Amino acid sequence: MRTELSKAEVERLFIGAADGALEGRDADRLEDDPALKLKLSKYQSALKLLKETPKEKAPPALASVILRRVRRRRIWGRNAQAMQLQEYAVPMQVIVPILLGVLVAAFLVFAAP
Amino acid sequence: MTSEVLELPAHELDLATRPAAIAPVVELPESLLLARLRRKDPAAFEQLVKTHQDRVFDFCVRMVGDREEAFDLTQEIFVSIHLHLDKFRHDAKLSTWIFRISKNHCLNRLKYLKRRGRGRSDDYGEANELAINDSVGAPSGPDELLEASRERAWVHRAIAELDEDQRMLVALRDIEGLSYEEIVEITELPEGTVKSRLHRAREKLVGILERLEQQAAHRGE
Repeated sequence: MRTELSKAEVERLFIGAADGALEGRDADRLEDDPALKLKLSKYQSALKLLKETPKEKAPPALASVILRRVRRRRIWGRNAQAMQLQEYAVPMQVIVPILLGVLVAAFLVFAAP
Repeated sequence: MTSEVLELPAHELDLATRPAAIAPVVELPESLLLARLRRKDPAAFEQLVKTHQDRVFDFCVRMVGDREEAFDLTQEIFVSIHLHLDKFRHDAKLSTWIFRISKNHCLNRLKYLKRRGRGRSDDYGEANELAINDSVGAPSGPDELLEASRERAWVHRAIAELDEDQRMLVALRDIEGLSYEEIVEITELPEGTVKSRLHRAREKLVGILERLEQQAAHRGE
């Protein structure tokens, strides 16, 4: 006697059919149930439509636009790094007096009796 | 959303049927390409873009249902890939990683569009359908071509009516033809969940296609 399939069983059966892995007993079950067979045929037609849908091709300008953006980002990144270094660099107005101070201190130390 | 997106005039967006303006590059094996990408070789990145741009663009069109949005989105995705190349786990497949980034960008963009009240083009209007038909080759007269074009438009509309997650699974499995293992890695969902959500999405799709067919029959098309 044929029993009604549960939702989970229908799901397993349809997924199997869509993946081309329908088991023998499932195929028999479909033969016994015309309503289910019709449902599966609609399911497979929809899948066929999806698979046959032509793929969208990227506009030819896309690659060059992406590469231009990446290049700009790379240049901007280098500039930002240089600016960061400049920010942390000690200015000459500070370095020269410190060096002079060190020299004078060294002279005084060595010149002391 | 960055304001850095480079806008192109509409006529340049519809150039899909024209021969590519950029010369094709010789394809490298993935391991070699990855090694060069790690060295930040610009030529390797160029090859990566050229190899994957069509699939990413197609996925974006399915997800957002708008070629202009998909164009911007694909730019964002590749810039993001360039930025995060160091984070790529080398035991994974490059294409899977790219789809994962694409999925995240698409879902974020859909959220943004929902907040903003939809995209640049109409929701899924006639104009967009026409653009899609043009890009994949418009019917040149005979009834079969007209029928094929109509079916294509129905498929686009039906996909657009699915929930975001369902749309993503249908796009990855039934359009891009990825394996369940790859989809599991991209979506971070268990295989059983992927299969059952995919099944529900397909069932919904069947219902939508039936409805569209009935509407067309009612209009006497």
